[in-house]
Amino acid sequence: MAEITVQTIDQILDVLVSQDTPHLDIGAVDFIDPYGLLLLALAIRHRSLNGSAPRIRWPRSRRVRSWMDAMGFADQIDGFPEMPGNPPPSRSTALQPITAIAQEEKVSQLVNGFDHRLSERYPLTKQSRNALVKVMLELFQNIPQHSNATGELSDPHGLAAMQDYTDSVFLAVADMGIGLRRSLALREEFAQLNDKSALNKIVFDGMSRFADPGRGGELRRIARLVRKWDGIFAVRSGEALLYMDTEHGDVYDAPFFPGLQIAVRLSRHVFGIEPSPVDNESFIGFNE
Amino acid sequence: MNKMNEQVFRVDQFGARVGTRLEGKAAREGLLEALLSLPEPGRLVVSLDGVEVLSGSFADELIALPYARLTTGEFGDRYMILRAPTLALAEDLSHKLDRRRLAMLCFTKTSWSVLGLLPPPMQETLDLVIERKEATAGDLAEALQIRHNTCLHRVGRLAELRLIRRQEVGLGGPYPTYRFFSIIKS
Repeated sequence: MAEITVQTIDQILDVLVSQDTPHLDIGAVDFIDPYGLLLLALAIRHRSLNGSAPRIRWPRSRRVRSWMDAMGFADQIDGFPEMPGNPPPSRSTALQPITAIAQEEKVSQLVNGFDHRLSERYPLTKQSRNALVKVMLELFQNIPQHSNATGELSDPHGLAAMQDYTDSVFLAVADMGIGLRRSLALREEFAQLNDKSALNKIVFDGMSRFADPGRGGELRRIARLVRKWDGIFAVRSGEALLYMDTEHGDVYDAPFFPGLQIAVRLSRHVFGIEPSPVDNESFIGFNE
Repeated sequence: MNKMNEQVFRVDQFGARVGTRLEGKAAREGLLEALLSLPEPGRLVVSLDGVEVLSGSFADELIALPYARLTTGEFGDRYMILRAPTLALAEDLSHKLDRRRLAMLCFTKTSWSVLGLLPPPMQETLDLVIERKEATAGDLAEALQIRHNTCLHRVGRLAELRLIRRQEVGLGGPYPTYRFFSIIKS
């Protein structure tokens, strides 16, 4: 496997979640997107909490390892080895390192932090910054509001991260909570839905675990917005993955993983930033 | 007679970019206080001046939920209208009102419009009430060339939605007769 992305992370989840003694070889990986990074961190944690810690061959690529360090991956995973002779990671390579999202009271502050990091790097228009702030406010607050709606978890492990590329800005939000199906099942009429149907009900029909019509609909609005902006939107929960790009939008079968994970990839045009003509140190995603 | 007391409730007191559902719920207390302290008949102008981001969750808790209570008559002869620098800023609030099958008047610098859900015939009737400032159902029915009963239904619904003010002015046989007033400042 050369990349860990929205398109490939499920192969890793299959290994980490379903095998008795998982051995994961990602040594050849030379690119990881923020969604892949968050799911990798959560899957390793899930495995460690529910069995034995997996054996992992980490990426050999110095650039990828340095980026993982800069994104704070080592803070999430016990046993992420330092690379011999590796220089201290430069935070400048990471747009927004992995950030825990737990309390709703802190959400606005965290969103402002993400916005600040993005605006430090680019002279964004106020309009585009505000649009992204609104998306982040809704996605981040979903974690404390819904990921542990049954109250059964000690920690749903909510995380978010953001990275910029030559052509786009990528936001990922993930948790290991009860997921969409079990959240929606708190309403009796939706108790029998499977993951795919629950995802459809929430993203396409705007339903939520509340019968109150004012609740819910945010993921549907974000999906429409991302589509309008020619972006990519992925929502994964349980055994279902919704993937939408400019051409298509469909729900696919996926290997089981608890919680809800979301990827939003937006063209830099949306933010008034011209695509970079050449790669520079700020970007990863190219071969060394 | 359509003199209304007015008070302005500024949302930017809670920040320029608002916010979460929890923050909206906390802010709601202030709005309800302002609404209840307004002498009747009264118009609370919820101002988005100084606000840059209004999330749907915050807007639902702060504005749409009290507005839903307003339409039940809980707050007597009081009304709420929104003042926004741009209509786009109120887009998510409009979505929440729509989901709740509510409608609310919104002013921008240059015009007014209705947020939420209002079918075209109702909009047409509302336009006319606002244009005339006050009218009877008979006047409106004649101007719109619709049946009196149809017009009564429309203005009754507009009054329920708190988009216009209805005042009893006497009896027409066994039934009360009303005049309908624009809640927009003349």
